[in-house]
Parts: sequence; structure tokens; C-alpha cells
Amino acid sequence: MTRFIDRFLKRLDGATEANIRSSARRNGRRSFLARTGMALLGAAVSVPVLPFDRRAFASTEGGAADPCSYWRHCAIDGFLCEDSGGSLTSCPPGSSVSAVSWVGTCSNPDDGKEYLISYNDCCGKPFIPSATFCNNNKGERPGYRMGLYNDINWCTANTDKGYHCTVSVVVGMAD
Amino acid sequence: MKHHLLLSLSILAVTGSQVLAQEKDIQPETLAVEAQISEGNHIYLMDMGISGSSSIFVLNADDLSLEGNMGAGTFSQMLMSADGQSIYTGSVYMKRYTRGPIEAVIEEYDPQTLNLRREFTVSDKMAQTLSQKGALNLSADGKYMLVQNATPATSINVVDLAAGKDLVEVPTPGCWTAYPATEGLAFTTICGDGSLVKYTVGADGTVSEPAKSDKIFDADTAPIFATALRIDGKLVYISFDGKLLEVDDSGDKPVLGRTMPFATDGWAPSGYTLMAYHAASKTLFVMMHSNAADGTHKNPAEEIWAINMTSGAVVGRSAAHGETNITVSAGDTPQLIGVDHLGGLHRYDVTLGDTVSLTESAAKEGAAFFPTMIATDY
Repeated sequence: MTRFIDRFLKRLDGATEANIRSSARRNGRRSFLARTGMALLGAAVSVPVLPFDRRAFASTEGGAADPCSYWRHCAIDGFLCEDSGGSLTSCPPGSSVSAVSWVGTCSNPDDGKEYLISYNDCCGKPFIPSATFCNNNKGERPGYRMGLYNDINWCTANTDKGYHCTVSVVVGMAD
Repeated sequence: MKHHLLLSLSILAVTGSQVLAQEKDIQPETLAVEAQISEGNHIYLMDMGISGSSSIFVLNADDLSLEGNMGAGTFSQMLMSADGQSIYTGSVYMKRYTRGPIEAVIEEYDPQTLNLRREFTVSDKMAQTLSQKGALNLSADGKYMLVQNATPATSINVVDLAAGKDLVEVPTPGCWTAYPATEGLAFTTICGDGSLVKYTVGADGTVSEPAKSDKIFDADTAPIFATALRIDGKLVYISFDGKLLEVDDSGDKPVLGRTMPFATDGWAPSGYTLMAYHAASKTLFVMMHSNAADGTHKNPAEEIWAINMTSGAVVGRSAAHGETNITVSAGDTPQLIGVDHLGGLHRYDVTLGDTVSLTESAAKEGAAFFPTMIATDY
């Protein structure tokens, strides 16, 4: 877990602006983590924005036909990349992975274990209106816990900042 | 080319009109631009763009008909000035819509003519975040704007409105929102360690040391929403588990006053702009949902509860229609306006008294695609 966070923070350092880096250096990474409320995952990002909405699946919420109920989407907020030309763990062709991301802690019903999920936004292209939009908020917090916040455009640290879609990547165990 | 096309079309139109007038003896119609929206009451609804422009729709409050709109960039915030004479937006324009360099822009619109009065750029660290009350505010004297930044490192950009440029960036690591003090140039922000921190800024851009409150909430077990309201001089926050936290921010540092638990039987607050306050009756409206659990804090409203802010008691529970954002008009006979998670607009008449109730009196489907904040001019 510690190595995982350090690895992501290293990428974050490389991707975000000077004041973030200086803040992290000034306060130490542990302090920086504590102040931001949790792990700001570097590498690819995610965190779509958007109000509550599960348009196509409103009548079957929680049912097997609802892709938003898939366990690792427990805190996703955005259009699914798997409906946008990508997959559960890959961004669509020509897009870029967000340089920072936020995480959720989701329980896999198959083994009953808790996993850390990185919700990365894919960036630089328009969203696909026909893609499924999910808004789940397990463990989500407002911006004072930025690493848990899903109402912000996590493409913000990229060169191309337009929000495209979101992936849900297992990055470690929660324990 | 565009001008040539317009000229050609104009000539054709004039020629055609003359011919028709001669042949049928009719008066040619005059092309015009509506000078302004109608007299009366209006609703301003932010439809936030995530991949292109945002739009503020202006609707007639009587029949919910559309009278016009105002445009802004992506992830726009919306703020109506206290006198109702200006609508401000803060948003990001991407040069190639979804890629390339960006500009963060403050725009000021006339809410009656819907004309743009002016615009200026500010720091492009402006947070690209869902429209919310704590992300764009004016100082007590209206001379400065407080803009939430996020890169995602957080800071507050204090903007000199008269000069139309940034005054100073106040680093606020681990904190979110900026609610202005009622006097002077100062603001309070919510921090992830459970405290509120007040900063005071001088006209020369000097920034005070952060003035930190005691811990007033637990971000792990009982987090608070970012949305706060100014009620009778105090800042009022609301927790996920249904408590109102009344904070005095007038002194050196924020101080927690009354804590008012009001949720019962598994009900809890939820939504985005989830509170609205009617000052004349001291009634706070809160969107609520049942069977509350981890992750339900943004659920659409099943009911809207009314709380008397003198006693802290719940004085009404009314059926809702899946709203995610609400506001309430002023005056002795207020109306509550809500927008649901599918973009439908709902207007409720408010019956005041020892108990308070809402009666839906009009509704309109498809008023917005990604609705966020609502304001009224009445």
C-alpha cells in the first residue's frame, strides 16, 4: 500500500504543477497525503463531474443489466470508457490518461475482499453521449478530501484537459 | 466569406420582400433582437457543460417557458450578485474545445438583457468542478471575487473586480470552498482535518496567517457537505448524517455554535445544492432521502424537509420529485424551485405557518442536460 501510494505520488509530482510539488516537498509526502485526505493517484486520472444520473438504467438500478452496479464501479462518476471505444482498464484510442486520479475502496463479491480502485479519466476528446453514465459515491467526499472527490475534472493536470470517459482500474488491496 | 454571404442574403431578402409587398400588398416583416426578457419573475438554471459551453437558461417563473440564455465555458460556476443586477460566471475555455491551451474567464452578464457586460481572464488554475456555491463568491463589499482553484492542489484566487485581474492566490492545501465574511475581505474554507480556516486579505494582497477553528466535524465518520449558507449572520453547514452546524466566522477564527441534529429514522440529506433558505420565515429547506448509507449522499430527493432555524425543529416534510438542486425565492409568498437528476424543473408553492408544506404547481421536463445551480430574480 505504501509503495503503491509513493509510486503514484512520484508520477503525480511529475505531472502536476510546481506548487503541488513544492507543497509536497515542504510538508513531506505523508503530511501532503494527510492534508489532501488520501492518495492522489498519479498516472492516469479520472473523476468525472456530473450530476446524479443513470439514464438508461434508472428502472433497473442494481439489477444485473445495470453496468453501473459492477462492483469496481462503486465510486465512479462519469461515462464508461468501455462504451466509448476503450475498456474497463483502457482509454479509447487517441485519448490520454489523466495525470492524477482519485480512488475508491470497493468490495469484490467473488472473494469478499476490499480493493483499491483508481478511477482515471481519459482526456482530450469529447464525451460520448450514448455511453453509459454512472454516478456511484461509496466513500466519496467533497474537495477537502481531494483524493476521494469525484465532482472535478481530473484531466485538469493534463495538457489536453477535455473530459472524455472514465476507467476503473484495480491498483491494490485496501488492507 | 461570411460577410459576403450575409450581404447576398440581405439583398435577396430585401428584393424578395419588395416583390412580395408589391404583388400582395403586405407589410414586410422586420427582423429584430428581443431587447430583454419579460417583466416579472424568472428562474436562472445552470446547465453545466463538460465538453463544451455551459449555458444559463432563463425561464419565466409563471409558465416555465424559455426566454433566453447566457453562455459560458466548460465547468462553469454561476453567481447572482446580492442586488440581482449581475450574473457572474467563472469557467474554462479550451482553445480546441477538448484540448489545447485554456483560459479561465470571469464573465458578467446583465440578467435582464442577457447581454455580456464584460469579461476578463484570471488564473487558469480555476477549479474545473461541478457548479457549487463555495467555488465562486463575492466579498462583503462586492469589490473582490473569491475563485476556487484546483490543479488539483487547492488555493483561493482573490480577484480585484474593478481592475479585472488577480490580486493574490491564497494557498489552501487540503481545504475546499471559500465563503466570504460579512465584513472586510476575508473568507472561511473547509479543511479535511475537520476544521474551518479563516483567511483575511489586505487590499495590497497581503494574507493573514490561517486562523483555524477547533475540529468541528470528522471527515471519515461524519463528513459535511461543501455547500453552506449564510443564515442570520452565521455560516450554516450540513453533515452527511443530518446535523446543521452553525458557525460564527465574525471573530479571529471560526467558532462552532449550535449543532442541530434533525434527521431521523434512516433519513439523511443528499444532493448538490441541497439547501435553500427563506429569510423572512426563517425556514431552511433541505433535500432528503431514506435508507441512508455510505455513498447515498448525492441521491435525488425523495422529500424536502422544512426546518425552523429559530427552534431547529422540522416543521414540514413534503414529497419531492428526484431533485438534486434547489433554491427558494424571497418575499412573503415564496416558491421553491428544484431541478431533478434528469433535468426536469419543478416549481413548488410554499405554504408558511406553524407547519410548512410544498405543493408542486408547475413542472417542465428536459429543462437542462446537466443541471446544477438555480437562482431566481424574485
